[in-house]
Amino acid sequence: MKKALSPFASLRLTVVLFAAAMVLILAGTVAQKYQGNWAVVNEYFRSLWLWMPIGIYGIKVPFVGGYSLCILMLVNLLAAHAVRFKLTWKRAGIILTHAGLIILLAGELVTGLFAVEWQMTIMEGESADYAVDIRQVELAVVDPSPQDHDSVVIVPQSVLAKYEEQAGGTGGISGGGAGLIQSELLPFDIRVLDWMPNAEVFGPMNAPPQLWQNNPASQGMGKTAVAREVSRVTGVEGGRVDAPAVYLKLTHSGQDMGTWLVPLHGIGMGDPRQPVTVNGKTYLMELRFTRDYKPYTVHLIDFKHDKFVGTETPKNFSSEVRMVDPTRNADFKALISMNHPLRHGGETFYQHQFLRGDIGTVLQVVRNPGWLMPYIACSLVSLGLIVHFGVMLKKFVSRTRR
Amino acid sequence: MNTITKLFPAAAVLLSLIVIAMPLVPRHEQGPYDLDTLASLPVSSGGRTKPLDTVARNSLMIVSDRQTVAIDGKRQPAIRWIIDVMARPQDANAYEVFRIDHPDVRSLVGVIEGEQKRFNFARLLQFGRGLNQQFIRIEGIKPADRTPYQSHLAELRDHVTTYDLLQNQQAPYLVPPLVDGEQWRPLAAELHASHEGHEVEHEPSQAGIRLGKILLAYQNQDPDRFNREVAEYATLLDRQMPDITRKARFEVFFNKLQPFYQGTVLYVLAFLLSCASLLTVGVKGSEISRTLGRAAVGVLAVTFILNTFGLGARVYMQGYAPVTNLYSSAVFIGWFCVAMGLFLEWLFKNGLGAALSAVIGCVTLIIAHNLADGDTMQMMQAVLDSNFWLSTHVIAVTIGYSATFLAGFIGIAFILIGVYTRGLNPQRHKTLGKMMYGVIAFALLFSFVGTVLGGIWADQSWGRFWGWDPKENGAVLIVLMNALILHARWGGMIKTRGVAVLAVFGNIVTAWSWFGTNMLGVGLHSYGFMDSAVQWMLLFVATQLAIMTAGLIPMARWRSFDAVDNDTLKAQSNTATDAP
Repeated sequence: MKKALSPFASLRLTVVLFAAAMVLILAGTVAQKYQGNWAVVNEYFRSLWLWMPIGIYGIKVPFVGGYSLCILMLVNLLAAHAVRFKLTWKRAGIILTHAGLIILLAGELVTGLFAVEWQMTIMEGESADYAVDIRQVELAVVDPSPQDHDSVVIVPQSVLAKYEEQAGGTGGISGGGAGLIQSELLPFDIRVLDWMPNAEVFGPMNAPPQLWQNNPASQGMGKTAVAREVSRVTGVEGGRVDAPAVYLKLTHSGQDMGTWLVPLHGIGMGDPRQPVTVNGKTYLMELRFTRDYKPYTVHLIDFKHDKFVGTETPKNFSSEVRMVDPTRNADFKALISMNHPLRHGGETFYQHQFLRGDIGTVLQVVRNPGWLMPYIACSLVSLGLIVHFGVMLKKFVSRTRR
Repeated sequence: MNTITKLFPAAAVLLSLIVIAMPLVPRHEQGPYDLDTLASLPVSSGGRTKPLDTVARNSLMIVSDRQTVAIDGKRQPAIRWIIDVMARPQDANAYEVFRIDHPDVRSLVGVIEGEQKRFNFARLLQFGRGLNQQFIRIEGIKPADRTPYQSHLAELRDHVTTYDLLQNQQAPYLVPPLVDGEQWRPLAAELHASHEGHEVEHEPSQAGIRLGKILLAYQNQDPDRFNREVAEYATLLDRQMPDITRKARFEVFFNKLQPFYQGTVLYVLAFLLSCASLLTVGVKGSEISRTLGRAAVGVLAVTFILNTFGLGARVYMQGYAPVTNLYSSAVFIGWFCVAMGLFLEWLFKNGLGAALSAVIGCVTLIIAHNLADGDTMQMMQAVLDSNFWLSTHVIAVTIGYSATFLAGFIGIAFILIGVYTRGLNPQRHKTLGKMMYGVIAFALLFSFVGTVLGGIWADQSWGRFWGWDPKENGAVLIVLMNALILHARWGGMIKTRGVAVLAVFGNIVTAWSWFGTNMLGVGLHSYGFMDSAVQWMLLFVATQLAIMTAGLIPMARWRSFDAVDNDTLKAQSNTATDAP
């Protein structure tokens, strides 16, 4: 057994893996100058392998991804301990340290696979029962006619991107034409003319003349605005998010209903939803961040925001909220502030941002089943290193003083 | 001979103390106005309460790139400049303080050729129309997209704004909160309140009236009245806000002492002394080397105490843990390297710890000096405003940087001494190996703990332990580098020489993590500190690579070994630190 394991237990392999990890991390850092942080994380760190660009000549070489490295390191580490296991004071520190490292790597794996992040925007005095994923949008078609609720049909971002005509999308559900999004739930059929993952929207006054003359839209917001695709937000721009927009051609039983521009959150401060009338019945159409409806309601009682005197530098901000969760029989008040999150029902609520004029708050909501693992790992590793280096230092000093 | 041996180190220490005390001796002619008391009056600027002296120095530094100003051919302190700007604008407008570096910007104020770099406000006003047109043009251009000319222009515009705010008493906030519920506010608001014909929102406050009288007395060239008013106002504040005035007076003392600036000079002295000590090792029948070595350690210790005082003073004045921005990280890295260097010196007594820490101490202070831009004690953004995490995560990471740098510098010493001199005897070979090993292990401990603590802080503030952002990645690179060196050493893949070469590479990794990640966001047309910093960074990387290359020359060709046969060499490498 030991013999079979020993090639995997080699320190040479450890050193090679460390070097590979350094190359991967450096490349993954530099890549953030050109790509969004999340795109890089998925391509470099949460992958088995990737094509890594070297230099500026566009040459790419295959390289191990974060997951592969993580697994190889775990194998190397476990094999090494299996082969060389010995319980002495001298080894105790090393064993503790490495046990902590295993938990740390596993924790990152769990986070990568299972953690979800949302944002929850609440106005002062109001409540919210859903959170949004700011990295995903959805096209919502709302039927507001029922008395006590709205009926909503959702077209996810992935479908919009897949059915885009200009990218040569060849979707097509049975019965429909190529690239036609059809469903009996939808009051109309949708053809995606142009899906823009990040877009700039111009009014008639500030639009480049060329763009304005070729405005494809004939209905709704598109009559007073025009959108142009821009490069996606990169990792070094920290904090900004993509604002997608889409040009749609709507038809009803083959009859043309015009071309519509649907930008994220609409245009300006007005209602983001634009009315679409089919057979005398009005629906509301909107591109919005993907929503996740929660079993609980968060009510914002008060939002506080202090600045340092005479500056725009925020000193602190905090949200006083009331959490009502019938599924857990909970109804309580809490104060969420910077570095002081609220934990409830497996989710954690962080003070994230605020709305201009301090009229509301933006909370970051995170569900991460592995959130405790780094804490355990950190304690173990620190303890291990202190034991190990304590033993070493004692030896080192006593030998030198002799 | 014996007396010299005893007295020399003491004399060196005394000399350092004199260097430290020098800036406290008043250098400027004392005029009839009590500007010292004026300088220590507390005001509020950038969200922090500080003496007027600090505002004066920083504003002048921003506008003029100097801390003094030439008035009638004499150097005058910043406080004289700021009171003139506030109370005697016609005089102040004639002082040549606006520094303009770009020739095209200079041509906007009518200068085609000549050496003159600083211009007075009157001249800017004279060419105001043309300047304004240019200022408006750059309004919509993002800083990253500006050409050097546009950046210089934007800088000049900001300097004019700074000056304008001072002249109109809108900055700093001069009027203190003497009544409950009040905030610091600009004097301008009070002056308007007392102005006839204006709609009076509130009566001017007592403090506002007194400040107005001080400025008026100065304007009317009435030194007696001015001194009386300033003294009375200072007494009032002493009574009403004793803690704040005490801190402000302390900060004036700190500004005068300039502990970090003096440190630069003293570290050079310590370095020269320890080099002299290293070069005279083995000079027969004399104690020269040991005497010089003791003097070096003495000077280093004095400088270290001065540095410690400086860091402690910042903590007291700012109310934050010592590392809050790039500037203070540079100061702290130097300080901690010197602490480690002194410890190594105590342990090994071979002069190398002292020499290396003096180099690092000096270089980091120079870097800090170049990073200083206005007030280096800004307030922290809400998310960072947590002393617990500042003093655990940030300190641990910075200690990790320090130790990695120190190990790298020991590596440089090992390679340079070995390759180019005969100084790398078996004894030094062994001790340098031990020093590197110990320091790298220490660096691994702190960089790892610091990085993980950073993750925990991130988890506490936005629910993400690890986000793979450039700064986090930089920190983990240092951890991996140190871990790599130690594992390669334990596995017998490298010996002392290999550790040295990799430790020098550690310098590059640390520099990247410290600065390089900040340079990532730099656009093509950018300019300013970060731009020149990129060049320094590249130069640093090039030197490190050159040293690594030298280190890779077969050891038999090193000057230290050309007299030694290969067997001895092998035996020597094997005696270096054994793996645990």
